[in-house]
Amino acid sequence: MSDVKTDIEQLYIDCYQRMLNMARWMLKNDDEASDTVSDVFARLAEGSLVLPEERPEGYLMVTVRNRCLDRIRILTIRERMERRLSLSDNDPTSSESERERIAEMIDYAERTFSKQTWRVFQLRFDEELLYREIAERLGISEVSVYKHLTEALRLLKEKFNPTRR
Amino acid sequence: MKDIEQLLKMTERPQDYTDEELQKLMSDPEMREYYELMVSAEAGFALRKDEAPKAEKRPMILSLGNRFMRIAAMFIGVLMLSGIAFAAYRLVVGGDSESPTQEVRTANPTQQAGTLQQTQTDPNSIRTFENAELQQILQELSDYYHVSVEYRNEQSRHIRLYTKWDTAAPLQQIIELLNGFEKVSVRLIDNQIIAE
Repeated sequence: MSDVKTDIEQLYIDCYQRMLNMARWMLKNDDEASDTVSDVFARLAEGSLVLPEERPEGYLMVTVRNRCLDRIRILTIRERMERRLSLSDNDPTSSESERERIAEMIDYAERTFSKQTWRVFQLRFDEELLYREIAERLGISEVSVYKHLTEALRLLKEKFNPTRR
Repeated sequence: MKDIEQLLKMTERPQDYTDEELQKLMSDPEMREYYELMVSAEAGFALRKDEAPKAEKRPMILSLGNRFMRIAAMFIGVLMLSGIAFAAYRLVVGGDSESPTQEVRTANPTQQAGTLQQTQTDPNSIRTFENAELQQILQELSDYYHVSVEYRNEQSRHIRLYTKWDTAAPLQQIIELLNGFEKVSVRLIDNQIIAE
């Protein structure tokens, strides 16, 4: 029993942060992310979750991912929009190719957007400022902020149509 | 274009719209595509940040569900502090007759590579407590920093911790680290550590 505990403790030390990062990434809610990861360890301690002998770390990550997806599936459109989660039930960053596509999208935006459009785009989606705050920061009107973001999204849609995934 | 503007407004303040309004907008495939692009844009910036070298700047304490707390002899927290400390602790509740191994040893800098925060701290100054009782840790601190220890809550002696201690760090910093644990409350007053 104590060996099992020791193993779980070691996994906890080794994997907890990575598991939490992934849950935060997927759920965009720190409390839910914490609960999800804690629940996995609780099930492990209770014995209701049994790890394979080979690559238990990978199994833990997959378990957390699946639990996050379960949580996301029951969210309403409103809840998803509040967290800016995808409306699709797939994890948008689960595959390497998808991560590459997303990274390429940002690189493309940086390369091709006008300086001001890039700045507005960055303030909105990187720094997560409100439109009013972006307008104040850049000394432009809120209407201009909408125009820059509309242009940014239009350009991205032309190049990276998400429905083609 | 007007619709995109509407979408932008809705994503910023969905609370201002009814469920029907949100559903109506999102039932439009084109608007949905734009929304997904916005989600991807945020994810893309987050990916960039993840790829950049970084260190935890602030202590982070886990919030724990009740169910988790009920589990005897389980871990209940992890803390990282300024890249010098990585710690987890477990609370041994009454009735657990097992006597877990206690160990205090000098950290092997290659151990757990990739899981600990990268640190510029001299590895020789790091001591690792694995599953050690708080009283054992405080005794070490007491001997090292030449302070006394008073326990105002006897139970606190037996809280078990996983932690790393940078012996080059000032005692106050270690006290702050320990206080990062939900169940630990220690203060440093006039060369005395008070555990509550």
